[in-house]
Amino acid sequence: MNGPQGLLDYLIFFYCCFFGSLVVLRQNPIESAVSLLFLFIGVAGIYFRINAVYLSGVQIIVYASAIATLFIFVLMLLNLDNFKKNLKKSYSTLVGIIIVFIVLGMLVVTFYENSDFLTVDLSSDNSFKALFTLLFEKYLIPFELTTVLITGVIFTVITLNKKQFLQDELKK
Amino acid sequence: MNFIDFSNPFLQLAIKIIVVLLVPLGTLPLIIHVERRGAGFIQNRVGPNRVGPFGLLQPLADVVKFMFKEEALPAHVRPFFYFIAPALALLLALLPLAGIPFFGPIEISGVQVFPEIFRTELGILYVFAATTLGPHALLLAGWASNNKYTVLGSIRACAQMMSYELSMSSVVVTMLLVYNSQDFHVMSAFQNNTWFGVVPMWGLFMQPVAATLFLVGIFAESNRLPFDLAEGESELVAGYHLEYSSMKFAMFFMAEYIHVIGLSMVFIFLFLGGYHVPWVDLSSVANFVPLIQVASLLGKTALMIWLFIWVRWSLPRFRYDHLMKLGWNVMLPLSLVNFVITVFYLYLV
Repeated sequence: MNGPQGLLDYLIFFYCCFFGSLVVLRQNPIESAVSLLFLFIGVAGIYFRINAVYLSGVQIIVYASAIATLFIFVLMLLNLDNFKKNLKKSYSTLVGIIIVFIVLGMLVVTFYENSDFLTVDLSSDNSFKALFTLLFEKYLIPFELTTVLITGVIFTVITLNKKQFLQDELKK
Repeated sequence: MNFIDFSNPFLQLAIKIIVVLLVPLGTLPLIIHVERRGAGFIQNRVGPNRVGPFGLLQPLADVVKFMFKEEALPAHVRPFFYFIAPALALLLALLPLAGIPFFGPIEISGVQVFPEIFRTELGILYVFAATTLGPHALLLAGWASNNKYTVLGSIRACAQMMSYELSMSSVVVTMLLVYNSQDFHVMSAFQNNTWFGVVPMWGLFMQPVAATLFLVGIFAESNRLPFDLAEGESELVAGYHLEYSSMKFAMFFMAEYIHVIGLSMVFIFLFLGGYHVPWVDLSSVANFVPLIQVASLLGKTALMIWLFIWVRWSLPRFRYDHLMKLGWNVMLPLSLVNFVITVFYLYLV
């Protein structure tokens, strides 16, 4: 299972690159966010093609539904006209495109090179069971450390925001 | 039947797609008719009865009207997103149906054939993933219309759907633990058992709290009364589809009903025994088992849709802060507590 398997894989790559560049190239933040949504769905397609079926489902549920909706939602609440003016055409666009391609390339290479560590034989009775056995036995410590990391990030963000808020309140 | 090779996978796929598309699109006029007549019945009035016998041709007349109505394109909309939003709404409403089996696996020429279009190991997770993509179409429609009422309507609809998705997903996880599988066929087979030969082992009887939470969740998720806050007529006019007219408006309308059908089917598979018929041994009529199972699933779906109509015309609309309070302060903690209790119970038993 190393390397692209045919036309469909190349179509998915092209699709991901197309929407990945749109995320950076569009001037309007909401159009970027919508492109991001389509990019998430394309990444789910890549997961599906390398037989990481569970991961592709979770990619759709967590990223494409929850996170992309939140992005679009928050962008709608912001004042977009002010946001647009600050977005100058500069090297940032070019750098952004390059980063998109690097990250996508890294993702593809990583998953194709190491596809066996996430993929589980579809012909087995219950590949979910096999996946979770791996996740909760072999990779238990990294998995738990990741949850600790995410919790820490959430607390940090809340604390920083509250601090800013308190300082603003004190200035008044 | 010999001249058609039913073991051809492409032919199977084509047949499945056509049939699954025909089920919602064909029953939609009927559902809309039943909704109007049912509203009349509940509110002690007549309802549409002029076009055809019992007003049965009224949906057809509506379709003709929608087709030939002038399409008003407001000058201030964002054209690209304005045009794709209704199509996206309909597509996202139809996607979950691709993962739902209408009957159990059958054998054709010695090969086991599954009735789902998109048969993966994901099972209910795929259907749930496709369902939770729904808010995007509403957000896009509201934003592309470039009108503050539509934006407010879509933000309200979306916030409501996201709030209730949390408790719904906790309920789905709970039920996955109960059935120990994410596959619709396994769930159905599990619920075909009975207690003492009398009470069917439906999810509804095993997890009544989860069933109630999920039922309330699908009412909120499909933006139906008593949770249709996206369309508060008094303050938001018509909500996210305010700027749409003729067939585009009809597409949002259809998407809403198909969403209801899809979510009802998920509810039936989780809590009402799926496509199985309780108390009946089907082995004597083995050739007709798929037909009976389709009739069972569609009959249960019809009952669910009648429940939707019944609730819509019986209960008043919630206030928005009450809705949010119910979602976050009542349903989410309750579903999490239910989940923890189920985990401990399954661990101990």
